[in-house]
Amino acid sequence: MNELDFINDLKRGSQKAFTILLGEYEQKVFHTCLSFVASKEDAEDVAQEVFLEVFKSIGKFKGESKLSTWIYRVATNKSLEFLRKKNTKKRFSFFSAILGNEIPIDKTVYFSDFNHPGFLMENKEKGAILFSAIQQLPEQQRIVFTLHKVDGKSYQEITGIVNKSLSSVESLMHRAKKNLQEKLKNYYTK
Amino acid sequence: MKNKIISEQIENTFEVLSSIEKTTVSPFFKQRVLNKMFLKEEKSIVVKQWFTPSLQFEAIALVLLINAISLFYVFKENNSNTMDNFAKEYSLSSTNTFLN
Repeated sequence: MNELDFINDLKRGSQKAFTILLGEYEQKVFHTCLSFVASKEDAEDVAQEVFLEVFKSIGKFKGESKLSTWIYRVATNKSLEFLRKKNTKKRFSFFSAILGNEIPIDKTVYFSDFNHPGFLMENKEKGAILFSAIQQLPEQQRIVFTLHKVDGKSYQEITGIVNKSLSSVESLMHRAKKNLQEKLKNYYTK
Repeated sequence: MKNKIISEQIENTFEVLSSIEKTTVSPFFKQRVLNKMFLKEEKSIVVKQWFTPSLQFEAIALVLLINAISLFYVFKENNSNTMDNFAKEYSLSSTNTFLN
């Protein structure tokens, strides 16, 4: 079955087509969500929301990108939405930034119970520090860094997901690394 | 020397990303999501079929009518009680008896 026929079946609401979709994408979508939210239970909740959104919105999919790209875009947006809701200290951080204070890496913002199942015990603390630093990056840098370095996606895949050129993605990646190095330097210097 | 130590710490922090182990999604995830997709759709269709728009309109009209009747009786009784109390307070009631 080619992709166009498969998409038409999805649009018709075929249960068989959605079963195939889930079979192919459940692990991939879960992995993308886990890369952002760093908790197995939360990642499954977000991944569930992703598939329900795909189910609801497949009628609006115009085929301008590959189906996989569109699904990963939904997964990225849902993960960020989840983090925004969980991050209750964002307002405080915003005011701190205006006043010119360096925002310390605050592990109490969501990742205090960092429990990414993929991290070995001895790496959990460093993982929590790194994820907290990633949270403080500007959104576009955060997305590109997470998709590439944590989720393992290629730059080419990321261009489709974030709808930017390859050079923009590379530039965002470079700036993300520099910012993270700076934040970690401030953290370890304390 | 201190800078070198900090640089090493930063490098080691980034290194943890390359040692992330694969995590698999729960085996029941797929069925759970399919249930939510298709069970949800069935429920909404059932509701639509019997509670038609004309029935909805009639239900609203009935609720409004009951509320209007209730309010009418409540105000009528309140007025009557208020008038009686006022009359008694100022000895204006026709049922007052006078001592001779």
